Amino acid sequence: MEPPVTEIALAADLTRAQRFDAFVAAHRDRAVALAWRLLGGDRAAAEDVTQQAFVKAWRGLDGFRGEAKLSTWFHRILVRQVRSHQRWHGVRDKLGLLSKDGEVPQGAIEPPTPDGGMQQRIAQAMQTLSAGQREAFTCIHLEGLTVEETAAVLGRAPGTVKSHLHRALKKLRAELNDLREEAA
Amino acid sequence: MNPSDIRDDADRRLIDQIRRGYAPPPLTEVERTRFDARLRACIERQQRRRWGLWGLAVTGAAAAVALFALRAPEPLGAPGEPVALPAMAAAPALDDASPELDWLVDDSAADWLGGSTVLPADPLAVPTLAQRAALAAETGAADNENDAEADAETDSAPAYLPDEYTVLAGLIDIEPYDPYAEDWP
Repeated sequence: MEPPVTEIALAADLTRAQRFDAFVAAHRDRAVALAWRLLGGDRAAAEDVTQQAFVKAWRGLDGFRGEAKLSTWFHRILVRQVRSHQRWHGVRDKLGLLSKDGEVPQGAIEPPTPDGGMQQRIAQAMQTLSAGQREAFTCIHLEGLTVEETAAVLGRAPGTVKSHLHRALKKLRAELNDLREEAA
Repeated sequence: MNPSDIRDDADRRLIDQIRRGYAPPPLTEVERTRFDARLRACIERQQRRRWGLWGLAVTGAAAAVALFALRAPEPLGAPGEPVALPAMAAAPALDDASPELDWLVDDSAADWLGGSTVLPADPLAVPTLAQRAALAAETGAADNENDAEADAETDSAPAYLPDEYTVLAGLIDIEPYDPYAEDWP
């Protein structure tokens, strides 16, 4: 169960650094997982993006007025940071600034696991989704957010989120139909 | 989970498989410690940079104020050149080499009016007879009015007041100067 981060973060008897440490400890794992999913399985990029999002949250924590849940506020920062990373990665990719040998390309995933390549198949299927569809599917079906929370996190209208979600699920049914039938 | 998107149990199980299969390996304690250390270092670096920027801004503002306060006075010109005063700067430009003299004496006006009109008269010059007559005619009326008082003062005053030369001559025992004496050396 998610700890009462808002209460921890806004407790008056803790210093700002202590409150932020508690905030990081409560959100770190989930934030890295969300960034990892949105970035297509790049662990190093996910940790970098999450760290930058936490730095931005540290700077903006004084301006947080409690109008939204603290987790929603932070996830919105994280999603923006992911998008910024993807844009910058795309520009670098177009300009050919990425090294061909040393750097892990976007969407790379860890070596196959003993599950017989299932993880790679799912990752490839997720790569067929557009960025908006992947964001909506990840937030709602993998992170467990509601449509309204997802709309707030992604900065989109709930109707747009529903539309992205519907198309994402349709694509995944088609890509992973054998898994679906097998599960049935 | 949004039930409106899920048609049947097969969809639900597919999503469960995706959730399990598309998940990063959990962070270990070492990775968590490393992550926290990097984050703390990044925040401290940003804070130092922010303080550095504030320090630079304050130093720059102080330097600008000091330079403004200690700035050199307006240049007076090279040695030997006339100082450009505001009154002179407002004066009309003249072509000749000595405009300041033209300010004091207007040559053309002096020529037209006559030199005696502009230039002061010689205080040691002996007035001519005509000038004495003109002066007497000008002051005659006033003199006539004050004749009685003048006569009274004249009667009470000594007839002859020795001048400085006479007093000095008496002190050094020489003949006083008498311009009417014929045998005076």
